[in-house]
Amino acid sequence: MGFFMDGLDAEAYDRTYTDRQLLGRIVAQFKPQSLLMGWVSATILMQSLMDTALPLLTSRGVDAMVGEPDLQQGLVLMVLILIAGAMGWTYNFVRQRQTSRVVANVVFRMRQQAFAAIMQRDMSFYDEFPSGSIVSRVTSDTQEFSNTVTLTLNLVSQLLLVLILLGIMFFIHVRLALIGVVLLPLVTAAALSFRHIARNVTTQVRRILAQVNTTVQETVTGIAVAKNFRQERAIFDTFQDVNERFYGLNLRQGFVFAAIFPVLFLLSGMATAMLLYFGGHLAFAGELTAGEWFLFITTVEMLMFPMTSIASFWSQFQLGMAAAERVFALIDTEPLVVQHDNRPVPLLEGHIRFQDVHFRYSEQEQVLEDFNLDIAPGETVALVGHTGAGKSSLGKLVARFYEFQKGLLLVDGIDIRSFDLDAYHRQLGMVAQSPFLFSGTVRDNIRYGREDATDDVAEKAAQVVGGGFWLRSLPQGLDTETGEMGSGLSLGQRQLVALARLLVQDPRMIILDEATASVDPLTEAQIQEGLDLVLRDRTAIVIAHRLSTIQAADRIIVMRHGRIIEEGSHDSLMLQGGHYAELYATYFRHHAMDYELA
Amino acid sequence: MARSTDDVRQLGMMITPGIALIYDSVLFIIFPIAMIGTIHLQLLVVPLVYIAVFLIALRRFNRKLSPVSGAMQMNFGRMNTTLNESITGIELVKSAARESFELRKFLQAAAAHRRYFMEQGRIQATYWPMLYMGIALSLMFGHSLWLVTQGQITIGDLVAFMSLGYLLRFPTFISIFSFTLVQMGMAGAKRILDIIKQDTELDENRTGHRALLRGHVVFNRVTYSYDVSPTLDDVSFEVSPGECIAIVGQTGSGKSTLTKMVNRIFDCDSGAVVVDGVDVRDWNLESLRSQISMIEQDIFLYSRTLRENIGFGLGAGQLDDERIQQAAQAAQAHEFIMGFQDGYDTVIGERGVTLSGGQRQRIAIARALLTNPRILIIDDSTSAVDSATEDEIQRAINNVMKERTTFLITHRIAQIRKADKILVLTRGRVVDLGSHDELLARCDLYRRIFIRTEVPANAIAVS
Repeated sequence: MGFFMDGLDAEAYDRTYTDRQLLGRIVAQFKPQSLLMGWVSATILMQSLMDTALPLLTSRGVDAMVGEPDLQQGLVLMVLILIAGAMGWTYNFVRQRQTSRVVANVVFRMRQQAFAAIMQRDMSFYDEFPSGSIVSRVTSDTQEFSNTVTLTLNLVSQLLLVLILLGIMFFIHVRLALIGVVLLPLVTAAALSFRHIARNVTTQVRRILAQVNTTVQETVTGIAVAKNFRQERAIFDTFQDVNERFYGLNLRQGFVFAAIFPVLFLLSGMATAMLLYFGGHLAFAGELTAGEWFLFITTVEMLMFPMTSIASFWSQFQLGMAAAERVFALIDTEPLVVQHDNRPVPLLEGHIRFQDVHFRYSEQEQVLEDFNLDIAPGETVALVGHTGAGKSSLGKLVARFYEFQKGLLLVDGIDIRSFDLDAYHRQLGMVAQSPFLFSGTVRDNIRYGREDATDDVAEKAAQVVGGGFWLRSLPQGLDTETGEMGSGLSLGQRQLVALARLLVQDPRMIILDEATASVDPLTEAQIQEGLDLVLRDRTAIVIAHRLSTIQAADRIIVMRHGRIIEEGSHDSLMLQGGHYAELYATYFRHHAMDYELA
Repeated sequence: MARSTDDVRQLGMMITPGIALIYDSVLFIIFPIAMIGTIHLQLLVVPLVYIAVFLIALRRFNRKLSPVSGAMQMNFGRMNTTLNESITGIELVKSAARESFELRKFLQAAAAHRRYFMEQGRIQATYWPMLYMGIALSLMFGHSLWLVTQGQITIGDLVAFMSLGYLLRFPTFISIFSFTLVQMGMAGAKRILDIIKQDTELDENRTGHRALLRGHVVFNRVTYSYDVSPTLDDVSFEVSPGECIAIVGQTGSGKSTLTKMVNRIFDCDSGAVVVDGVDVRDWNLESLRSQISMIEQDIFLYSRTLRENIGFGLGAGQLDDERIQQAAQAAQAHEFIMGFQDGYDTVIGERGVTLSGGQRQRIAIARALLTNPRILIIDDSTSAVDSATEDEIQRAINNVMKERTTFLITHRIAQIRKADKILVLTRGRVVDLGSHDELLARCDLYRRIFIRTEVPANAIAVS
């Protein structure tokens, strides 16, 4: 990104396209709209012509009245002015309508492409881009780009107007026009120089605004504490202090902004006055007619606005290009997980086998090396180990969320890389540490497990998990709204919904990342019951954080630095007195029912 | 919160450039009109009629545009929410193979946005005042021509008149923009006023009962409800001074609501909460609250030094280092605080200093200890901690509970077991009340916590 981005200090980000590539991509987005674009271009041209026709006709009218007034010609011109005005309006109408259509279609298509692209990406993509940045690229950046397109089209029509007007000025009087050509860029340059001052002040204001926001945020979030300890006054004073500084800077910003436009107008006014002075001389000398003189004044007047607005246009244009680039970068990211084949997936037994698997997220850290593990159909395996031991990587590889570098991962003896992923995922259930729910009702969320699930099935599943007792904790039962991303439900309730959802999906294999946070004992008891139910007769890999889950597993696998170092049952491992016994003393001792303070 | 800063910003935009532009527009109308008046009074006819028509058309334009713009704004927010959910829940989407469903959902929102955008474009394109301006200019020209032939004005007057007429184009086309700003600002101002006008706080009851609190609490047939949230239904129990009562129940059973009635964050609808024989509503609020301390579920700490956070209740400038350290020691926090490079002067959130859930909890306990409350409310549900931290937290809680009446909401089974009384709540009703051994013997619900229920094999098939 060379030329377009010069002097843009707004945001550092991945600049991966040359100006040429970027323009090419943008043009390609407009291709399907070429018919509409044709309309837009034609109407822009016509509208500019009509806009200049108005003063042109008026000036002819003025000339017609000099000396012997020719009323008839005047009336004809009056009608022509009327027609030109009406047609100008009509062209403008058509232009704006078609422009909004083009922009809406282009933005819709970009959003569609971007969303379809991100749905296809594997999880390494989501590690790289935080969700907030993806969202803003799909919605806000496309919006920013569309604003720029609209603005650019407006500017094009204004520039066209300027060109036509300049042509007319030269036609009227060359010397006078030359003076104008020299003065106009000076006005534009002045406008540009103001931009730097404005940007400085704005940056300062933005910085302190961030402080105000943090202070307000802390005040509001901590209000209960402030009230509890009766320190409301002290907290308010802190806020008042920051707010006053903000006020001072704002005042300065306001002053700078308030100064800019009057000064600009003054400059353009002075330029106009000079032109008028010379023009007046010429009119007196008989080199100009009264009509031409009028046309000249109006032309100068009409020229000033586009000249001053070009300055502010440039930074907006850069923002728009940067936004477009971010969207394209999102669409173009290469997926790392690649399937070799698209084999239909038979009903799986759930025999999982890691064979000499090598895996790393990035070049720096090897997670798994020559890893071997065989999980029998229907077996529940609990993975135990410190953070970073590679427990969750195992689950993510089985889910095909990441690509491994070497070795084989077989499910029922078939290479996992040859499956049709959609069909494979249908037979694989997952529960995250903090289960995710969509906004909607609890029933909708339970049904989400399978495309064709009925309300009836959802209800049954809910009743079975934890004996359905938990439903009494929901104010409207299954119709309870879960709130944005499930925020209306407690962690325990979300886990129970996730278990019911899993029952509806009825997968052959389950990967469960157990929650680390605790829930109230009554809910906990139901979750444990629900887990027993869901894991029965299914192959399960459990990243375990609770003693009761570990004890209920068929086999405990103890991991350290990407390797299996011990395996067996709870009792045998405790007897062994190795790493597991150490982990127990560190993490699980207090989970025991008979825990007493040491 | 984000809303009110945004509202303030919109209000600011209304004044500059909104009001400023309208002010300019008014000048661009008044001065040309005044100047035209000095040329010839009759010439005023067309411009004045035009301005009247312009103002009416502008009003109608805004009435048509604002609902569409508002709907578009709302739809944009919806689109963002949908998208954010699909992305945050991507693991679920992928593992349930529901990508195409999410795409459909998003495209619906995006298509709605496209529709609103085009509708807005259509309305903006139909900006009638620009057409009226063209008509007015031609009529002004005709009118002035006629006056010239009548010898009423000169050619120079005609030129001046027409130039002044062209000036009216500025207010005509800038108004699209400025009035939208004013409208948005007014909407923002209304929302700000709504917040300012809201009533605050229960009455302080300054003349109420003041006394040193002993910590005897009685709930007498307490009933409480508010629209969505948990309700309490006919709750009665008694806690003697220095006793600890653990409250057990599922989410939404009313545990927190119940504790919040003691320090009058809520007042009951019927029945009474009585502290030391006096209804809480008859207590002086300041006296009551200053002797009750609450350790909340989500522990909030300010981005200040640990010393200031622990001594928060003492007020700025009255920090007593010795007492702060004592409190920290009792709360098992002193050791890890000294582990930081700056000790008690460590600023939370600065230079990457973050506290774990267990550490935050111990700071909060120290903070509560310093105010030496007679009644303590602990809503304790930390994230995962290792066993050593767990030991320290339990020790801290045991220390802080000594000789204080304590309401304890906890996930820690060991703490529940040791409480003097255990209250089991479902849906705001008391299921049972008693000691651990009593409840284990007679309460099925309570027993379920300690003895894992076997799942019947036939319960599995759902589909």
